[in-house]
Amino acid sequence: MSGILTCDDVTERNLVEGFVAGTLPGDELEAFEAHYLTCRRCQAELRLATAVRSTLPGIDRAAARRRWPVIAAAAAVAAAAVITSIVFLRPSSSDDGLAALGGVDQAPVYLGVEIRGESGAADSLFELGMSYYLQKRYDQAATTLDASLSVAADLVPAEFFLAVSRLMNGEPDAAVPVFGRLIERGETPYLAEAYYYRAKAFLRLNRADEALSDLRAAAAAGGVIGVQAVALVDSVKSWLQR
Amino acid sequence: MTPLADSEPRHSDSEGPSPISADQLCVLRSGLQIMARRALNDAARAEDAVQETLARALKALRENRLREPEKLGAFVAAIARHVIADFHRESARTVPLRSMPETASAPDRDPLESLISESERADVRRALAALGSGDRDILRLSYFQGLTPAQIAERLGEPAARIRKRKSRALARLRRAFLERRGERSQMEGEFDKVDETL
Repeated sequence: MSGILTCDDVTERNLVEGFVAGTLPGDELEAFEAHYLTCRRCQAELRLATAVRSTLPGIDRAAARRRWPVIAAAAAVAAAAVITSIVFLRPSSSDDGLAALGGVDQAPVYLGVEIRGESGAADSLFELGMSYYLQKRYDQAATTLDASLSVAADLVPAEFFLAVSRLMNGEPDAAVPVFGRLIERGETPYLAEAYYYRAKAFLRLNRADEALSDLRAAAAAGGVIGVQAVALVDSVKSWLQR
Repeated sequence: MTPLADSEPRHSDSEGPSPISADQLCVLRSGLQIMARRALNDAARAEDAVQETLARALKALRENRLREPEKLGAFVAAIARHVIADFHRESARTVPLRSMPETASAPDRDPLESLISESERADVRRALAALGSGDRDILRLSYFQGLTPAQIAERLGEPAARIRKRKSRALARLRRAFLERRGERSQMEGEFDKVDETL
């Protein structure tokens, strides 16, 4: 990039957004720095963008708590998982099968938000299971989370991460019924994610119709997961039309 | 670019007349704070880097080393990069081992957050909460993924023009909330509106 930028250039080239997201290539970053050092307006835009980045995740968590106030702490876990786990799908190559669309580049992130209430055996097992999960030892995570559910069947986060562990461990057929139980619970902070990741499991099993149905349910929930679901619907449809 | 006020150059106590106006100096300082905090992720060291950069820049300006005044930003940015690189080198030599875990414990914290006050954060939080979830999704994809309106439109399956309009409208509300308390609204709103029209 050469020449001196104007504020219109900054807007047209999405430079404020790229700067705060850390996606600007080196030459654009240098040009933008040279501009905003002497531009009061763009400095204000950067401060506003920073304020948005700093507060938006909190709004998401608050919205999740309003939807399902019973397990508020778990809602924070779910919201964080949604926000931090999303990796946009790349278009599949021509040789990829439908199952490739069921791949999960990065498992939902568990941020270790404390579950409220007295600590008991189920909580201890849950924490142990999540420590395996964080180490990507999904087989042990699934076994331990399954055990935590045998002590406390209503431990919704355990059910979600058990299903994800099964999926990440290459067991989509075992993940599907666990996601199904979670979906049957109705309105929980994990509902949209359960649809989305069950769709992934269905895709791994080449069950495209069921995957599309789940993705539409996830898309209806909106939010980032909804955006992901819409994108995946398009990818699945494109693959089916080939 | 927002024109800097053409006020009279300010005189420094010890080093002769300043080669730039007080307003220019003020804008440069706040811009350098953004640059240094982002690069150093430490408010105290960033402030030192800002002071050092300004001292070097003013000295260079007094020596007439800036040939093209319209390139003041690039000139100072280049000096700042050198200063920041010096700070990084110095830090690598002197940071005690015991401080490293603390530094590593918060790698994801946005270094610019410290430039935002609690009241500004509260204003923006209220404005964000008043937006529709769809508009918040657009802002999320913009500021966390760095996506352009056209890319967001592709993701959401909506016309790009509609995404631009929704983003512009959402940002206009946030700007009002953000600038009002700081008393900058009347000064800058006209310029923001001009940019909004181009979106």
